[in-house]
Amino acid sequence: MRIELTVDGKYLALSVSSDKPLDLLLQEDVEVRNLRDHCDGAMCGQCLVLLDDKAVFSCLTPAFMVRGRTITTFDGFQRTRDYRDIEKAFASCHIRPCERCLPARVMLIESIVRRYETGTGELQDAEVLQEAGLVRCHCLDSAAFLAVVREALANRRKRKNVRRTKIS
Amino acid sequence: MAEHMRSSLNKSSKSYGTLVFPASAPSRITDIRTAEPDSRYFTVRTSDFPDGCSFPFLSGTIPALSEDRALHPGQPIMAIFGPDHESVILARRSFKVDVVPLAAEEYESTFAQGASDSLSWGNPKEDREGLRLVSSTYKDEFHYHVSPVLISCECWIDGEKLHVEVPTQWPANVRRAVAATCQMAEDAVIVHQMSVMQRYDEDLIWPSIMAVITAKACQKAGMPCVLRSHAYSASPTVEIHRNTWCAEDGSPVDEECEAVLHLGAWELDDREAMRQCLAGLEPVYNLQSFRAEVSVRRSPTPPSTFFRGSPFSEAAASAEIHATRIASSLELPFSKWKSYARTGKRPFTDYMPSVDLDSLQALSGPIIEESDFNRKWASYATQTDDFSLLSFNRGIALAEGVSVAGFSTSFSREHSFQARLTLTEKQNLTLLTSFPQRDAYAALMKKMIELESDLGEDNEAIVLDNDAVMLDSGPDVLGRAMGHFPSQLSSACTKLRLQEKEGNPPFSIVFSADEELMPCEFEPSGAAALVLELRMDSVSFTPTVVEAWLATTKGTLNNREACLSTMREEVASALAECGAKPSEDPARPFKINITLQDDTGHTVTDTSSCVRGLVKAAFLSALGQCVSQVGNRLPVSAADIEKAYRNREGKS
Ligand code: FES
Repeated sequence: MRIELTVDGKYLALSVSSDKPLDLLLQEDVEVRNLRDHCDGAMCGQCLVLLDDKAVFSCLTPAFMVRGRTITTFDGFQRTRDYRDIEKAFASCHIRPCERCLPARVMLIESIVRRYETGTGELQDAEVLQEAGLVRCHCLDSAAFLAVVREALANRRKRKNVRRTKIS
Repeated sequence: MAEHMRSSLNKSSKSYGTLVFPASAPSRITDIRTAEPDSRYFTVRTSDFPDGCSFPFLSGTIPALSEDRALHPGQPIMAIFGPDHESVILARRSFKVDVVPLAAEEYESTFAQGASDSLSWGNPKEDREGLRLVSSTYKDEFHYHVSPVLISCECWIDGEKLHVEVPTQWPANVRRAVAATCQMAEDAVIVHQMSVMQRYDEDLIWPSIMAVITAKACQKAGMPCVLRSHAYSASPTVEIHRNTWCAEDGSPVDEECEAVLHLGAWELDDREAMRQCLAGLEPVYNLQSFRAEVSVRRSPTPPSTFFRGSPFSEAAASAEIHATRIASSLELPFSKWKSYARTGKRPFTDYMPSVDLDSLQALSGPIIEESDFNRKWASYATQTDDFSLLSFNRGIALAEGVSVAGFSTSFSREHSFQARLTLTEKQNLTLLTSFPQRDAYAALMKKMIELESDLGEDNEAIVLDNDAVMLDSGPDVLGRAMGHFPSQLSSACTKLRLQEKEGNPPFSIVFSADEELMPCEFEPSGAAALVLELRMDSVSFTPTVVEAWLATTKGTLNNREACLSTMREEVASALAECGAKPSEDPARPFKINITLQDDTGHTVTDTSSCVRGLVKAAFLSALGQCVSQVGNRLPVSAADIEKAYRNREGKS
């Protein structure tokens, strides 16, 4: 099957089997380096990527579902200014996730931040805490994860609002 | 280089493989039936290894494949290779493996024939007249650990050399195993060590097994092969029974304990596990006499000699949980009891140098305050049996201990693991080691070299990329890389500077990665104290952890952020092993408060093994406060708690 998609801003046309999991497609056909894991649906959460703006388990997403969609992986995301908001949040909370789960955690935080960044809506703690469990790694406790999300959201709103104000 | 080789090979010129496992184990394999394989597929079986597929591992040997019997779950029978990963997974379904459980006599002769080895230490007291006996039994059942991720091993042949690319903690063993089973010279096998994410033995044995199979597939097919599989490992089952004879005022006088370790189906180095256990069994309170005995048995699980900090952590947990039992037999909060039983110095023994017990008190003081331990303990104590009508189920507990890191002195003398330090012509210092390099670790070693060798501004310390290193620094288990290694490195720096005075560089020295000259087996590697607060979910019968307060020492060079992250992971993963769940209540989500205190006596420390033990001890003590009948058995299940509730109701 031939699919067209955008990965980290690059438009690609690939010929793959329609049910090939997205994580294997990204590892083998696109050579994304920060996706090393494939747990066969054991829900480890290490394969999180953004499909359009939503975090998805790429190992559970078949190739046919990503036709014409936009994928953001940690490889591409870490080169953006948006990543700096999250990086700064980790630093100011004095929290550092382990090397293994960092890419997945960052993508998860980014998906939450994107949901809230426009507007001034309050962060729903219960919802965030539930989502925290999507990345199964013990290096961050729930309270620490919540603190980083809050900080990252504040950084993002501050940066974007400043820009918006300057433009207007 | 590995990266370059990998990307230069076309995907269609590789073969992808997967492993076939028995449906149950321990079992005898009676038949393996296969559908006629298509020419694009091939298998790797025991018959492909003319001299057998077992490879040496420390003092024992481990088979890579086994077609007659499977002694534990996760023991591979054979491997199938084909054009891509998805199709070999489908092809695997066409293999039918028939198994029958091991016959009783065979099971008996393999696993249940009693202790395979034992070690004891200390002398019991003769006269116990007038002393009060407090006993406890602690049991930590094994648990399987199947790595959540698929580990990938790739092999390719380049001229005379066979290249192996795999995440491993011990590249030298991968090389030795491949050379032994594929009949090659060791220097013809080049190991490219990919980054290892697990910090413990999950990546110790499994990479060697995968490398042996993939290398054979590569030789057989004459093309690059990639094998993917989850890694199987297990913790040991540890059973410890303790008897303590106490004086009138509750201070312990004499203690005896017996530990039984079930270390899996294959022997790696049982003696080292026993020594680690003996070091942990020694309690952190003063005693007039102490005796401990440890024995080992084989069990139908993957080898577990070096699973995480085991069995040191379990032994330390048993000592601490027993101490809380002594305190509660006097109806005293643990913090009060320890203030008179845990003072002065614990004397020097064959296993540990003397330990300053007062410094442990100082470490736990602030977290006792911060967590409001004494008030909560008194309040939660009222829920015990006689007051069980009160409708809250909470518990709080305190545990303290000292850590060890690295192998024992006896083990270090038997096995020689090395690293090399070189002073180059440009006055740079380079360290070559096969320890897996995580960024934080390499940065720490650089700091260590800079501190010890006062390098000038123009000179730098370089920790060499360990790709294809032929030097063997040994496996990175039991906190070894953080244990003795830094002090060995510091004395190597001094020696090199002395050599420099005698002539012009370059100079190079190869030094032992472990301490072989210490008078006792282990050296403390920092101390820790932990307070844990639990709430019992009375609907799901799940112990829910609300908050943890950890105070731990850290070496002066240890990176603060890295330490915090390691400790958080240690606490949370040990709680998960115990059967606890973190609180997701938005009003009070699970929180770990960590205080790090600089340990001026050490430049680098690793308190992980102790913290694991403390979590287990504190969890059981706090659980005992919630539901008193639950016993000292880990992991705890909802069924255990329900049973304990019923017992309590029956009693009241
Ligand atoms: S790789 Fe584990 S959930 Fe996708």
